[in-house]
Amino acid sequence: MKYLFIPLLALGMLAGIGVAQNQADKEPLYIYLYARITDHINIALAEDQVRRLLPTLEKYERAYPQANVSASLLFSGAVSDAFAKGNSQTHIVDLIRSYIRRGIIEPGYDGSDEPTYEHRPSLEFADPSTPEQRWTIRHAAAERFLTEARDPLSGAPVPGQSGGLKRMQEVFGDAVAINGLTLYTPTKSPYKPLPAGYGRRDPLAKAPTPSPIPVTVMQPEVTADSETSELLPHNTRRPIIFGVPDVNPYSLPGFRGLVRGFGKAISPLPNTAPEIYWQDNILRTSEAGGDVVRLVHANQGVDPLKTLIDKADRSRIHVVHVELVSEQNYLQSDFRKGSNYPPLRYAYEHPDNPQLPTTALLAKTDVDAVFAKEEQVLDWLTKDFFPAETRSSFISNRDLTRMIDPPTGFTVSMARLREADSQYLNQAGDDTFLPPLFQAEGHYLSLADLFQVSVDALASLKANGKMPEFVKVIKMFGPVELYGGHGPNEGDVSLEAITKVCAEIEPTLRDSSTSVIPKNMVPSQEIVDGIHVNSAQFIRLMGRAIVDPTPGKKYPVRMTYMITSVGQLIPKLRPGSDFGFVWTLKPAVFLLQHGRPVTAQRLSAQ
Amino acid sequence: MKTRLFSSTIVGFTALCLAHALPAAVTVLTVPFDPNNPTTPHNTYPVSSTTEATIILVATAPSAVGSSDKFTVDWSFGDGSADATFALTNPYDISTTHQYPASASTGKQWTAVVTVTDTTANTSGSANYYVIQEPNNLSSRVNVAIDWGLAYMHRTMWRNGTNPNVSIAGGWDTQNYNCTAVNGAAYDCDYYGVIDAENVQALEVNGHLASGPSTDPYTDDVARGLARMFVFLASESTSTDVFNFNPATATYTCADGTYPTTTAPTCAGHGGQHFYNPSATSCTSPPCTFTFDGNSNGKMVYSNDGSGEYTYTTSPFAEALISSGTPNATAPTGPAGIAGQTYMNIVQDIADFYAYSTYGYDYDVIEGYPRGYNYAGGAWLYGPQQGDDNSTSQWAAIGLITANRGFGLSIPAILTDANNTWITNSQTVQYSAPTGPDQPNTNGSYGYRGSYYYSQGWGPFADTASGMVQMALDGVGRTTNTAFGDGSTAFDQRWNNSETYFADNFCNATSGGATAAPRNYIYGLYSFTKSMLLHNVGGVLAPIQYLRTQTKNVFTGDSGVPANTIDWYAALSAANGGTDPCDGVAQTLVGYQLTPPVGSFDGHWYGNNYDSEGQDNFETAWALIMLQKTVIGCSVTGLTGAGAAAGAAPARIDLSWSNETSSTSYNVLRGTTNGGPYSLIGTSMNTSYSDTSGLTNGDTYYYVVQPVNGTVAVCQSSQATITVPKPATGRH
Repeated sequence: MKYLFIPLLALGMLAGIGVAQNQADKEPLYIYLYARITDHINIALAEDQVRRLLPTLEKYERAYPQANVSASLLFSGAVSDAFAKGNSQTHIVDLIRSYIRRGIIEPGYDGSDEPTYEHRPSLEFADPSTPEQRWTIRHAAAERFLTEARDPLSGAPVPGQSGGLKRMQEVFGDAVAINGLTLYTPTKSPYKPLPAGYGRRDPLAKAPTPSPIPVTVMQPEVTADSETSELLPHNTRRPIIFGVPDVNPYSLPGFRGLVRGFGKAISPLPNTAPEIYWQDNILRTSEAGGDVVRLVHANQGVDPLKTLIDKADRSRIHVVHVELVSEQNYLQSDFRKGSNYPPLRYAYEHPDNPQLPTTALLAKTDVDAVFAKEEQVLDWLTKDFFPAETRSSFISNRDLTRMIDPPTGFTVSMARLREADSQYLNQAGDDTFLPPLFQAEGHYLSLADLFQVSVDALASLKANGKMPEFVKVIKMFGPVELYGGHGPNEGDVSLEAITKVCAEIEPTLRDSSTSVIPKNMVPSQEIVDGIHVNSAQFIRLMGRAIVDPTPGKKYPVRMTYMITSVGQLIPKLRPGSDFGFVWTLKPAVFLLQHGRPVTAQRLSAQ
Repeated sequence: MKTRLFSSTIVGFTALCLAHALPAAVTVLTVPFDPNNPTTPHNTYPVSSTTEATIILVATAPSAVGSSDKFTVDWSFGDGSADATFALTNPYDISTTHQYPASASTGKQWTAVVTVTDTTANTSGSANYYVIQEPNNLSSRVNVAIDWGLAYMHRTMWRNGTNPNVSIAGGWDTQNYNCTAVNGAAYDCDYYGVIDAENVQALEVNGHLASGPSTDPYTDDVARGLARMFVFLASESTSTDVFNFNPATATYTCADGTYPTTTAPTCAGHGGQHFYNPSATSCTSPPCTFTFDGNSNGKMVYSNDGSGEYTYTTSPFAEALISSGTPNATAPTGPAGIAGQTYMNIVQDIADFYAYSTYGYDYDVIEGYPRGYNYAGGAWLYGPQQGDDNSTSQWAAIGLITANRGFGLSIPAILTDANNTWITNSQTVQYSAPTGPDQPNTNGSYGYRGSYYYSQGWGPFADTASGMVQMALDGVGRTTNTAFGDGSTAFDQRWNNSETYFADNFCNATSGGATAAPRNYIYGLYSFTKSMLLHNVGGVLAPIQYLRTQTKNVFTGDSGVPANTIDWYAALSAANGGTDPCDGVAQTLVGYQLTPPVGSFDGHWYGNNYDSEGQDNFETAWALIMLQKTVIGCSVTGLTGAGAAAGAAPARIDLSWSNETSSTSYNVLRGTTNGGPYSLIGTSMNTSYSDTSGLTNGDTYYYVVQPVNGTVAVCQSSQATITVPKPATGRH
């Protein structure tokens, strides 16, 4: 590990790339508590989830103030609406808001179960279609998804009313955590979705006979959400979005290996976590990361969490998601394992009588037993684990935002950028892939960041005859189209040609005005001295120009793919050309104070 | 190459006389470098002027197995250094390591003597181990690496009893037994039974056969491994497979070079359809029903090794059987339908299984699927007729290819015709920009379940190579392209594009990991090696020595190879004494063994795969097979020749080579450029040939020889370069 000198930041904190040399052996392990309240049909059950959870949290918060007890409650728009409509009798919204005010819970949004699974705004792409067309279609679908009210059972839009995230925020205030933003594409398949692992169970089992006319299945766009995330509120504190899911969402090949590989790649330092990263300048928190960290279901009791912690690589920070008050806690085992699960699927498929049948529900005593099991998890954490590991604690969204080096707004000195460029050019050699991570001045830069600061520096050289002393990192989007190719591998281009291109595109990169397709987006390609190069090639050329800006100097064009190994590893599902978001991936670095990560502590809502 | 990468040094037989003449009450066996020539010495080489390579000397004392006596082992190295002496703890492993003097001149030979003394019975036995100093070059480094790798397999094998032909005699699978740890681990052992087949194959292709001499300790290992692996095969009755598409009309792209879309599925407005395989007649009126039963025994055989990945894991069993070189041998163990069957019958039944397992549907753009999406027919998934993916399909392809080339079994046309559809429809074609002069960039890459454009699981490098292995099955190979200096560009660029994609990335730094560096993904590199060795055009075997690219300036700095190419196997970077832009497969593997990412140097390979996806345990076997530059143990070595200038008689070149036992004849091919292409100039029924056709005094010719089994060429020898001398001239 190479240690770098880094500047002091505000508040005396350090953006501590690699400074944690003298820490205790184990990096902190944070527990991220959350609950999903998304069943708008069995609303009494949803209310019970809340009424059980809130006093429990308060009990532990009072008994163990140093544990920083806090949980995110993620509501769907449909549940928020149902709660709001019943509030005059139930006062459930009032109750929730009081807990939010006291900082014991934070409100969030979960769109996973919005009505309905099969009838929601979906992505209808023509074949062929351009990346710009696909961006626009996604943007429109996302906008509808986040704002439209829909019939709770049919999913049909209800004009004049708000739904989705918009409704949730109307009821509970700004969402600080968001899950389930996934958009779906109707896709052809010879089969209905086959169960995971199909074909590995029976040696000579043929697949079911395919349908002569392919059926339509809804294929999720996994992790990629630039078009949707751009529609989220631009508050001073942007919400955290859930990142890599725990469960393979669409039988993605190699999913578990991807999760492991991506987690390792995105946590290069002790004060980074496999589960936490930046994407599109929004903090992401994954349910799974690295070798062993998975989503923990509190209703399984304390043993799975203990095992996970025992096996976790503690040379890195970890943020472990623990789900509380799952709807599963109320359900009979047979129902949970059956084709009607989850309860909303049952409701959507039984619109005439959508409420869960009593046969699907556990007796109250059994439900109580499950919740008692959940409390064992909180008990063990607060009484045993946190006292034994005083740097570990619960962690809230607000904590995470406060503890992590922001993705933009900092400056990088040209001297350091030049040095970093030189290092990375040496590392890249003649490789067709750029190095996966780039760091300068104590910060990680995404490919988009690197592109932007390089353009800034060279545009300034063109305009002023010299490069600035510092360049500032500003918000950028990845390219709308990620070319699969490596581009040409011959020809030389001049310094003057490179700076000319930079001067031409620099104003656009700074244009953050609202637009369906953002203007502050890395272009997919540039034409330099008449040679078409993709933007990864252009980064390489700009790097050479920054390292050696000799007038008249010529630099060789080298083949370079637009995706790096980090971009390859993040689990994702979309056509390959629409992976521009990978240009914004970078590690999230926990700030250090006295050589240690800033501790989590509960803050009351403002 | 069945035998090892021999140096040119001639080895005398005097060393044999040095063996101690002690009472042979204790049987001691040493591992021969060449089982058929046991006095051929093992290699060592100077790493520097002061440091010699550390080699491993492997021996066993089988007569000590089960004895309660106490034994000591003494190794005398023959170089004046102190003996290594230790108490015998494992009769199957009395190996030691040694560094001979770095100052020794090339060609210096030593005879190490290992003596095992039964201190209880006061008897002893000994055996010789021959070593020769070679220069520090790729050949010697590879030979030492193979010695270490084979030794590692030998040392980790679990064993029971002394009869190698029972099902629990020994193996590397850990379902019921634990391997023997070396330095605390056994990196070449695995829960799944296919590991036995893979490791057996690695030993076989390196010349150690169950039918080999009993004095070779590895003969016993191979016999045990074979007897064990049959346990993991299962037999079922044959059944029918229905193909619902006509490969002749399903295998196409657009005549203007674009690809069909769902809005123009038959290329309207794009010049219409261009069919790659228009004369295919295997299923012109679908649905077509087939029952594959090449030996008419009503059976098919598949791997039931515990992995649940039937089509992945069946092929290695066939490869191990084919590499045995004994088609008429019979399985001593195994369940009903396996035990007592000849190897030939089992391989045929495995081929029947793969034929039966082919996916018989084809959903393409006409049905609304984008090009490159899943369920384009003609390939394989985990189990029979379940769909297709490019990773498992290469195992099916290699099983069928080796059955065909190794044992001369035929491949039904419907399989190659249907697979031709899959390799067309699952190849990436979507990219066209940026519109620079050096495309096709990623055109040609393959993904996991479809094209890489749609299916990125595990990165592109294993799947692209897998696509190339399937092309080798189908006879789809290199074609002309002006980028290669040809006069024209053929329409079919499928192989060229895949090869280019792989070549462009070949030299990526291995620090990039499996998703960014082909040479850091052993699973993919193994597939790639198979594709290079089995490349053929229209059924004519044409192994590739020089990996080539349509992209300019990729391979620079080496004037010794054709333009825009690299010797994928033997390339050496400057760090290893060469001038190539990076190391080829051989040196890369040597490096991984010397500095493994997991564990310390002890002969194993492990950890150069995609983040531990269950592939690492097979790495040692795959590395050993790749280092031998073969797939199924076929080899012709020692191809050499001499030219005679034209005078009264025409110019001639007389060739000779080693015998390949499974061959019925040999094709002799000649080229006029280094690395080919070669043209068939004749056939020989024995191991020599005289070429007198069209030779010119002073010209250099490049020859290769292919052993033929039945009607198909099995493999190809290394190239021999021979110049016809100019006639002697008088004084002017």
